Amino acid sequence: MTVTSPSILFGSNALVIKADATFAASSKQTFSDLDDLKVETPQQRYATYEPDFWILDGNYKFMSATPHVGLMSLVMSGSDGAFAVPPTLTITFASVHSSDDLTLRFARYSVDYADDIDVAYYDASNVLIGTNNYTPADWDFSTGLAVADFKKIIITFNSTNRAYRHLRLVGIDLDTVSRFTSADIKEARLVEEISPLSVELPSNTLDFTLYSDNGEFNVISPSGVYAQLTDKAPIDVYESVDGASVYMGRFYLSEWKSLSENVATFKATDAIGLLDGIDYLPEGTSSHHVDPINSYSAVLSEDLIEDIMLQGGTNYTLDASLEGITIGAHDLIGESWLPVASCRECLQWVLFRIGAYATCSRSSVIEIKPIELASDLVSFDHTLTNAEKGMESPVELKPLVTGAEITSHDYAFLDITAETIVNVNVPVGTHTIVFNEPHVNLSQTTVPGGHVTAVTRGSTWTRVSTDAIVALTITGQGWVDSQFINGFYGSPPAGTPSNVVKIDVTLVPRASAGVIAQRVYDYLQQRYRQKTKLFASLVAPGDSVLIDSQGGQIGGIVEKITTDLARGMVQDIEVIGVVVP
Amino acid sequence: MSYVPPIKDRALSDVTTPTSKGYFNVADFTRIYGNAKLASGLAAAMLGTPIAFTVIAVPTTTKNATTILADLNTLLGNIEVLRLAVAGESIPGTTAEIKDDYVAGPTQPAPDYINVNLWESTVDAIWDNWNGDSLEVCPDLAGDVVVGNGETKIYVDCVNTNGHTITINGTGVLYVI
Repeated sequence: MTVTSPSILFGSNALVIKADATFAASSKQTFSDLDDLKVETPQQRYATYEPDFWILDGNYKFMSATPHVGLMSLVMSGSDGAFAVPPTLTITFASVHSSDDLTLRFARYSVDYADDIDVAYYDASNVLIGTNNYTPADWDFSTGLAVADFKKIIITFNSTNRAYRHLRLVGIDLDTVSRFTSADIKEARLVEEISPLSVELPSNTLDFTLYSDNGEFNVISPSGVYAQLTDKAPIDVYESVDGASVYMGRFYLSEWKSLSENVATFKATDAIGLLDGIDYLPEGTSSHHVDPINSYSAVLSEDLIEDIMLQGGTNYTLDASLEGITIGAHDLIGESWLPVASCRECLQWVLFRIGAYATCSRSSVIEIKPIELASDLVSFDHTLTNAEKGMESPVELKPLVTGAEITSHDYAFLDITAETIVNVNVPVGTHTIVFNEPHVNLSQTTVPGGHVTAVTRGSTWTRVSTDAIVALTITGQGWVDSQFINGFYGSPPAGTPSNVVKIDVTLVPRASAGVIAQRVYDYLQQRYRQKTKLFASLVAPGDSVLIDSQGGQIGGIVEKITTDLARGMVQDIEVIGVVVP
Repeated sequence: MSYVPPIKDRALSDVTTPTSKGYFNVADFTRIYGNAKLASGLAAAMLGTPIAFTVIAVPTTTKNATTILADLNTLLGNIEVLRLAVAGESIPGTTAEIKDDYVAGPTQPAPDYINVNLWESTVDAIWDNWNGDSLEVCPDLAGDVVVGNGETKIYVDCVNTNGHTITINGTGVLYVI
C-alpha cells in the first residue's frame, strides 16, 4: 500500500536562501544525491553493514539505486567515532544572505549524528567571517547563531556519536523554518489548473488547516514561529510518497483565519496569483523598447515577458522554443498594443499571442511552456490503466465548435493633430496617469510651469513627479485602430448548427491572427473531458496522459488536478483530449 | 572454514532493546553463508547429487548499501535451493519456505529476527540431519587413508595429507566440502 504524508513549510528567508544554495561534499556515497538537501527528504531506515546498525525489527529496508538519503559519506568514522579525514559540506550561494539559524537533521530513527562539527561562514569576497565548533547531542541540531552577509558555508563533520558510522545528513535549514507534518495538518486541499490556450491564466490555490497544541494561532497576537506569518509569506509544500519527496510547489499566504488559538485555516496562492495585484506599465522598467506599439525595433517574446515579470517581481522560466517570437514591429507601423492592466492579465495576453501557457505546479517559479495538442502527441508522459483509476471516471463530450474568429488590431499612425488626453489638477508627488488607448509623441505642460521634476512614459501611461500643485495637461497623437476578423472554420456535417468562438485581443495584429485562429480551433476540437480519480500519482498539470476509458483510450493533457494532500494524496484529475485510434 | 554454531534463538526483546543478537552484522552474513555452503556440500555428498550454490563475496562493513539486497537474495536463494533439494528426506525444521525475493524500497517488506532465525535453523537442521558436526575439519592425516568400495568419506574445508596417501577403491567417494 502506498504511504503518503504531507509537509508544509513556512519561513520566508529560509526558503529563499535554500533555493539559492548549491551543495558540494568532499565524501559521499555514489547513491547520495545532494539535491535531497534542497527538498524535504523523508527520514528512512535503510540496512547497511555498519557494525550494530541494522536492527532486525523488519523496519530496516533495502536501498534502491536512488534511495534519497541526503548526504551519506563514503568515509566511515573510526573506533572512537572520529573521522580520519573529516567529510565536509560546502554550501555556496549566488547572492549574499543573512540568517538567524542553521539546523542540521541527521538520522532520526537510528539516532546517528555528527557529535562534533565546525561551521565556517565566508563573505562575498570569500573571506572567513567566523568559525564555530559545536557538539550536537541529538539527530536534530540548531546552531542558533545569527550571521550576516555570508555567501558560503563550510560544515566539517569531525566525528560521529557512534563508532564506525558513515555521516548521515538528511536535511538542512539555512534559517528558521516552521515545519508542519501530517500530525499538524488537518486539511490540505490543493487545486492546480492550467489553460493551455491562455484564454485565462489560472493560479493554483492551497487551502489548509493546521492544529497547534501550543495555542499559538492567536491571529491578534501570534506567538512563536507564527509571528513570522505575514501576507504573501512563502510556503513550500511537499508530499512524501512511499519515502520519496514530491515537491508540490511554492505558495504565498493570502488569508489566515484563527478558528481558535489551536486551530487555524489558511489560504494561499501561487506566484501567478501574486501577479494579480501589480499593474504592468509597458516599458516601465526595461532598458530597451518592449512596448509593441511604441517599439523602434522588433519586440521579442522573451523581452516582453521579462519586463512583465520584472515588474511583477517574480521568477520564471521560459521554454527555449518560445524565445525569438516577434510581437511588436517597428516605429509608426504599430501593429498591436498592451493596455495597462495587471501583470497577470498582460502575461496571459502575451502567452495567448505566442501559443504558450504558464503554471507553477510542482515548482517554486512560474514555468512558461508551449501549448501541446493531444492530436499531435506520439508519446505520453503517463499511461493510466483501468487498475490505476478510480471506479467513477466519467467522460464528457464538449460542444462541437465549428470555427474560431480572432478580432485583430492593426494600429496605424496617421500623423493626426495632437489631442489633449489628460487635463487635471495634481498635488505634489508622483502620479501615474493611464490612458484608455495608446498615444505617441506625448508631452506634458503644467500651470504654473516649471514644476515637473521627473517624467517616465509609455504609449498608454505617463508618470509625472511635481514639486507643486499644478494643472497638468498631457497631449499626444492617437493611433487609428483597424480591426479585422480573421476566422478559421472547420467542415462540420451538413446541418450542424454554427458555433463559432470569438476572441478579441489588442495584442494580436492581423498578420498573426490567422495562425492564432487555427490554434484556437484546433484546441477546441479536443472535445473529450475525462475525469477520474488517482491515488498518490505523480501526474501533474500539463502532463500528457494516455488513459483507458470505456473500452478505448483517450490521449490528452491534464488541465486540472484537485488533490487532498492530508488524506492519502487522492487526486481528482481532468484530462482534455481526443480518442486515440 | 568450519561450521559455526548458528544463532537461532533471537527474540523480540533482542530488537526492542537491541542486544548483539538483535543486529544483522557482517559476521552474521558470513556465518550463515559459510554454514549454508557447508550444509549444501554435505547434502550433495549424502544425496549423491549436485546442489547448485551461487558463490558470492562476503560483505564488509563499508559495503555499498544499494548492493546488499542482491547479495542477500542470492544467499537466501542458496538456502531455498538446498531446502528443496533435501525435501525428500523429510528433515524436521525444513518445511518453511525461505523468502529469497526481497525488493528494495521503504515500503517493501524486509527481514526481521524471525526470518533470520528461520534461515539459520533451516541450514542447521540439514547440517544436523547428517551429523555434520562429526566431520573432521582440515584434519592432519597420521597415516594412509583408504576409502573402501561403496564408502563415502567427507572432510570439511581441507585435508592435510602430511605425506600420507589417500586411496579410493571402486565406487568409494571422497568429498572435501
